Amino acid sequence: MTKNITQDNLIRYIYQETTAEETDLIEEALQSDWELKELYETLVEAKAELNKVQVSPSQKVVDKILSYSKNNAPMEHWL
Amino acid sequence: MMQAKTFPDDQLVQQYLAGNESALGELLDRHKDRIYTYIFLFVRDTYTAEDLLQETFIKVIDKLRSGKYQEQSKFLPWLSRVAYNLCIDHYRREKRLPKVINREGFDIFSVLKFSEPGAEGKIIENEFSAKIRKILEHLPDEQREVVILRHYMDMNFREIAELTGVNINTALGRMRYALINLRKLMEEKNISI
Repeated sequence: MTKNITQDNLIRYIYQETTAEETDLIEEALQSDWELKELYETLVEAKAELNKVQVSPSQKVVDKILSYSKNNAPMEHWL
Repeated sequence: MMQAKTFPDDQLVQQYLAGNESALGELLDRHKDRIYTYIFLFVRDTYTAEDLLQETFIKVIDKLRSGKYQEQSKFLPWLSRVAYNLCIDHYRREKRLPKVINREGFDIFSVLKFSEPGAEGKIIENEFSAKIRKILEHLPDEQREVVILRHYMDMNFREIAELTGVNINTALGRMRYALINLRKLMEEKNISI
């Protein structure tokens, strides 16, 4: 695996927490280091699966929140 | 004219404070699923998760209106922290506090442990949430913790490290192992969401 590109840096890259300089280094390394690239793909695939894990609240609770806001608006907004 | 959907969060906050109720609707629409998923993964109970979501946004509304929101460009992390604190309060109220305490006086592991469905009588599991549980419950506690905090709380690794009292490399390492393990588990068990 490319020197100076640690697996932890790769995680930070995937989660967009690297600096511009680090990003350039990692992207360059991904072009030539197949082992790093393979790990990158595994991590990205798992992250993509996690992104699909989402549940939604009922419309009822959303309406309650909006209604709370409307019914408790400051007086200056009543005009 | 710019559509509300393209406004950054902070601009919507300003519009809302100026009396535009639909700006709150957009903020809610933008973030409700993420925050709800996070809360749900904590409490594993649809009713409680909805109550806590409502409580979260009511608190946010009150704080915004009282001028307590000062965090420029950090609306989502701020919103996530409000939700996180309410989840902790919920467990304190339920007297399910653990023995092992972290820096904030709370052991996150205890609430991330998934009890058997039905144990509390009011757990409703739909097919989707069952898949979430199935995948995540195979991970060791400390890996599951970092997944939930990074993925659904939108905390960065430095913040996670601070919150959980470990150094950043440990938090990153846990995330890396979590993702590798998840991928492996999905392949082995033929799980797909």
